[in-house]
Amino acid sequence: MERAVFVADLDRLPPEGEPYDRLYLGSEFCAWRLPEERELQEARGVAARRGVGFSLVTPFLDEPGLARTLALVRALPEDPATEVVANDLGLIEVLRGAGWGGTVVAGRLLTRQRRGPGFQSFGDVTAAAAAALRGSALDSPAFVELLGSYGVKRFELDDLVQGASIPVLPAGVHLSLYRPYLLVTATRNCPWIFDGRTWDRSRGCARPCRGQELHLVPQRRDPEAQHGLHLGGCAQFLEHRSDAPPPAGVDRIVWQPEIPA
Amino acid sequence: MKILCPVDSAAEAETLAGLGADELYGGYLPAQWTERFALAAPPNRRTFAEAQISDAGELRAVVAAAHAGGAEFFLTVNSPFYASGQYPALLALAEEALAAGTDAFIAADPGFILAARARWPGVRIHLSTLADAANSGAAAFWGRLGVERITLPRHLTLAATAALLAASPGRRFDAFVLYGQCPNDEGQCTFSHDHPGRVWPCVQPYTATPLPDTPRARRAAAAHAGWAGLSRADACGLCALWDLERLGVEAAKIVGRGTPTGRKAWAVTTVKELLGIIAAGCGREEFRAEARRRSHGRFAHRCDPRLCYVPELIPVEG
Repeated sequence: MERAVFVADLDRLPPEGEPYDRLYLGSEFCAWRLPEERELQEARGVAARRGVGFSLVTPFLDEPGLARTLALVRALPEDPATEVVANDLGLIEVLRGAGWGGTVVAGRLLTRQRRGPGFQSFGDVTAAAAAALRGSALDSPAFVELLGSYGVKRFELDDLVQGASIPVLPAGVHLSLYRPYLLVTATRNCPWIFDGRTWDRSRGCARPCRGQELHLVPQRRDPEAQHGLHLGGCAQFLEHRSDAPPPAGVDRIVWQPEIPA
Repeated sequence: MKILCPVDSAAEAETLAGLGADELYGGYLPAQWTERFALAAPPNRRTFAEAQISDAGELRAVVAAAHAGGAEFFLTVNSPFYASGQYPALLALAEEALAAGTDAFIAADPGFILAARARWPGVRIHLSTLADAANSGAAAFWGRLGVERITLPRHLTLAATAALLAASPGRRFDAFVLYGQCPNDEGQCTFSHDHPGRVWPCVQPYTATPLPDTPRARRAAAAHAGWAGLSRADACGLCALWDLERLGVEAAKIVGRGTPTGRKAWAVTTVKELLGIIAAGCGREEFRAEARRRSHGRFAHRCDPRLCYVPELIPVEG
């Protein structure tokens, strides 16, 4: 089982001596939160010195965000050992169209899943409903085949509290499982830059969210509302710690020592 | 620019088409689906009964009323994905809808879109905002799947919308202009919206603890707390119509399945009148002032950025 460590910044790496096989760096939810090119190259250097693989994690993207992300991807060496975790179908489309030679992974936002608090408290539902609550976009063989035609052979999933159901996948398709934080929701209305009037980042962003989070506890007191959330950047995460063996087919654990925000 | 409005009943379809809605959209939730999959995994992104057409007879009546009024009817089947056990029921539902005369599906799941295009060649698909297609690469990806029109994500700035459309010649887009703004990006949100009291996790009150406790984190906590208790239903983007029309957006989309007919009727009437003002040659600033006047006359709030589709257009006071 490959073990990747996912951090948003290099200064959040786990201590020396903690073993891992691959370094994930980047953001799933904000193009402004991506590393600068200098930081990207520094991270690649760290991975090379430690003898581990490197993956750049990229977010969902508007048009300016796509341009920014493409510039960063183009700063990477174009060979199969270079991995980009894409959380936007548009990035995959553009990279394929450009004949980009690195490896593209379908990140966890592309495989969908019902991750939010509340899905765990459904209680007595039919077996069909329970299966639907544990499913993902991978339940469609046509979707897996479609992204396969773009060269995507790895798909990533969250470790759902209610359990993740994984269908039988074609030979050669690999799966990653993220632990222990599930990415529940994200927004372009970033609370870290809201000036009381607008969230507009057209003039850039100084990343004021770095190294900070809000722990959110619902003030409601019914069973659906008992799960606290971690807000980092413009995303919210649900913590689910589990030592259970990953589902069959998973060959990479993406470990988040803290919320990747 | 067309007006695309939600509809929940045949009587409503007649009213809204009569007022000038060019296109109507609705959800269909047969009892068999609810019994089998519960509301936690619905065929579309609404989990309350008022937002659903519940039987095939009513669906046929809605489509017939829309067509009689000169409007098209689109069925929303926009769950971001379906579990494998749901596809047979989903395709049966879609088949029923096509037999009823549905003109297009509003969908988000590539699995459903691929299956529908294979089963019914020529079937028209519009992409739901839940697919979160916000860049030209995504527009090309979905275009390759045969998607005819794309509903833009709710949070795009006008500048990002303009950049997307400029980079996507020949693609067709719809944009929300009234009601139902979300704090989170709907295409990335996996909150459950099925609380019987319609208490949505995105706008319920939270106690926020900053970690670490810094002035910046406290400001972020205050910004997050600002969403609690908001009536998201009263969101507005009317003042953007002038720009959206100039950019070539095909339809102004109104949110509100499951809301009263009068509310939808006001929206259709207002958007139609505002489009008429644009067509008459009104300038941008004059138009925005008129759109804001109508918004302020309708909603209890002034221009609140949380309830605005284009907060960058809110005038700076003083």
